[in-house]
Amino acid sequence: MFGVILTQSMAFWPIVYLNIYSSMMLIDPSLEEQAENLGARGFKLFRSVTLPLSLPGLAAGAAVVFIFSMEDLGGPIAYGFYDVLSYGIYSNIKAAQNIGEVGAYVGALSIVLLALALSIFFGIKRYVSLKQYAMLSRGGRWVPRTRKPGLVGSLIIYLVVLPIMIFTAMPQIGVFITAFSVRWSRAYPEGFTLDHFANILVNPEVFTGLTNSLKYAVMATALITVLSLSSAYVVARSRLRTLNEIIDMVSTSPLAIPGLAIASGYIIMFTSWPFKDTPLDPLSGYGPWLLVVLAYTIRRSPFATRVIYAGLQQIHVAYEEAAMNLGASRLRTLATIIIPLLGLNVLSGALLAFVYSVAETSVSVTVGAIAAGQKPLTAVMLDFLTSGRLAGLQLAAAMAVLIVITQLLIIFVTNVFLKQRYAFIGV
Amino acid sequence: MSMTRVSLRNVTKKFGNVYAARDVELSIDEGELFTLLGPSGCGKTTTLRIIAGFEYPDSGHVFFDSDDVTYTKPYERGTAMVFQNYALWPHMSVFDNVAYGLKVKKLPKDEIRRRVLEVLELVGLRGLENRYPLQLSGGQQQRVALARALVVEPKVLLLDEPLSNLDAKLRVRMREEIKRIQRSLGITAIYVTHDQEEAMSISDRIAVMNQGRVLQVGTPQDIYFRPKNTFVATFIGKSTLLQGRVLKRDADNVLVDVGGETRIVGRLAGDSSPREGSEVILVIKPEDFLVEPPREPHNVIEGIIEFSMFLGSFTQLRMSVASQNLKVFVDPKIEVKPGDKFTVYVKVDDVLVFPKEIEEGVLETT
Repeated sequence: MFGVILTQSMAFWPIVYLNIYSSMMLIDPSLEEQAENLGARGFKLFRSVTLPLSLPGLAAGAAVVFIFSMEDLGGPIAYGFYDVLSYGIYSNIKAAQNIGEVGAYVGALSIVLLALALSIFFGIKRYVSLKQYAMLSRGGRWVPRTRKPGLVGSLIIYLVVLPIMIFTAMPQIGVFITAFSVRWSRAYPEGFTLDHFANILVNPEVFTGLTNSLKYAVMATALITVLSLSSAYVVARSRLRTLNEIIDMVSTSPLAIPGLAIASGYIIMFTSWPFKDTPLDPLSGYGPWLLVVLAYTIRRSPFATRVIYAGLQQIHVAYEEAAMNLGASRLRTLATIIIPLLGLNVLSGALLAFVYSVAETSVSVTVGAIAAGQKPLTAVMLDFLTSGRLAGLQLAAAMAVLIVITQLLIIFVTNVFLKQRYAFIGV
Repeated sequence: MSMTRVSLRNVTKKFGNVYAARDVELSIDEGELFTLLGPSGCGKTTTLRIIAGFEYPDSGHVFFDSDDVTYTKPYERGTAMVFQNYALWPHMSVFDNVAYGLKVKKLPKDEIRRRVLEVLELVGLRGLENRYPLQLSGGQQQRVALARALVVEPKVLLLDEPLSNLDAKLRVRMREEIKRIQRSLGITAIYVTHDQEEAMSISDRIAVMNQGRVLQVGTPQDIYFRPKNTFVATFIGKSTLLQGRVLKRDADNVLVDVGGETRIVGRLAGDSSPREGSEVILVIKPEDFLVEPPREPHNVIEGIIEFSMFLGSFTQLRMSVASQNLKVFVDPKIEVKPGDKFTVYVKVDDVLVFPKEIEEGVLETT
């Protein structure tokens, strides 16, 4: 159990980190300067101004991590610690493939998971919006305050913080080493090789998994772009407050809904009337692919919506009014003014949605694994890990390395070339 | 270009509990440059946006000639607006910005090209058509915005504080230019500003607005010399106010006791006339005070100099008269210092007397 807790802490702390980081970046430096000007220094300054102002980010990060950790499957499977909610749902869905239907047990567990996640999500969302201090700054400089740490500060950073960071990066490092190692004997890799990469490249299962993943992700990305653009536009531009709140809530709630809850919910819903034996029914002859695309779309759209919404807020409404004033219809205004101005945001939103779709696990290993020929890459990886085949671990690691590299590449592109700030995950 | 008459009938628009426009009645003639003038938040921009179709009124109607356009979509109205921040599309060149409205109308390519170049010539930007908005100065951006609006030959040209982002000198030059172009095209134009000098210099007629209401409509001279209430009187110019009580009145003039020993004769202004004994407000423009007695009937006002400020072309004095303050502009060569006794003269015709009950929304001026 401690293993699970430790892994999850290591895996999820960057999410909290990014949230706190981005809220600290948003703090108007003059607020801190004002506090210093009035005599607050050091820890007092941090405690009385900096921390309270970044609390919303911290709370949002904590909530998301709590939800992620509740639905995490990797930790429990790896440590064989099966007495968790997430594994209960997973194993029962697995069993359902054999009997051809999902039991009420899965539904009940999913509801518990969903209710917990949603109440935390909306509780925190409410707290954050109450605490969302409007930090308006007119003029002045907006350069985050940084300073060189002193000797003690440097010692703490190098001796405590840095080791913790390296320690938490161990799993990733481990995956990389595994992917290149011939085999592990006790704690050391036994020689290095590129064979695993060569093997996965020619393996038909991996190839199918890869093309499936790409196919699903491309379709989901197309849907996400249309969906996110419309919902972000409505929220950013219409004056109907309640409608906006509803759309905002609906479009961000997928962040809070555990993938497993979506997976089991979809299976239960689409295997029964009136969807039974339609292309949406994963147990029908069509297989689960359409449902997987749908689930990717729903789960990953908030990432794109956020980026696009942020971009829309930067576009002054007068640009649109000027076009309409000259006789352009709403649709023409959208096509000739908004989309060109928003291009980078739409592109980065789509890219993010794409990478997160390729890396999606919860739905992929449950719904996606229902038909052998339609498994996405993540489901194939799990097969390699759990099937006990020769060098299965190393082959899965090699696939993971491929996914991680594409992900890093695309995130790098959105951050550096498209100038998007951190695509942080939050409430 | 087409000439269109614009009328607003009883237009009312509320945002929450605040009236942005309240029973607004306006008739703007063909080819006229008409200005909506008022302090920020008075409803002038909302009124303009109702004419453009970006807002629909809660009640009332908007007519272009005899067509009711109250609920016509903005893109079907045929108005063209110059925005306060220009709203030039940063992803399009000057040419494409200006050509946009013509492309929307699906005109042939060569006609678009001809008309865009023509209008760029008119605003003095020929040769810059391949630049992008960010490569232009503020004044040039302003001209592009104007060209973009003019090129579609709109029924009505709308200008929303178009000069407020320019520096003082350029502002004066551009307002002359706008006036020249509007005249030469004979187009109906509605102009919004909070700058009274700008309004007077450019307009054929002005509507002064406050708190959503139109307080007075008239030529710049009307508004300046014959304000109908204390708000207009104080918003236009830098008038100074005195409070007093009516002692005697005849057909045109009233004798007012402003306290102490001082009595002032003034001309009745506004719609209603005050009874003897009622409270009134005297409005005098600081530049109307004289240091030598004029030939016309006049008042003699004595007071103590409290403060003097040299402003170059004149000196501004604050005089204490019967424990009220008076703002006076005098020749900068006259040397005075605080504590001096000082005597000024003002013609009876230059003192406007308003009944106190319609002082709604008076601006503090000192």
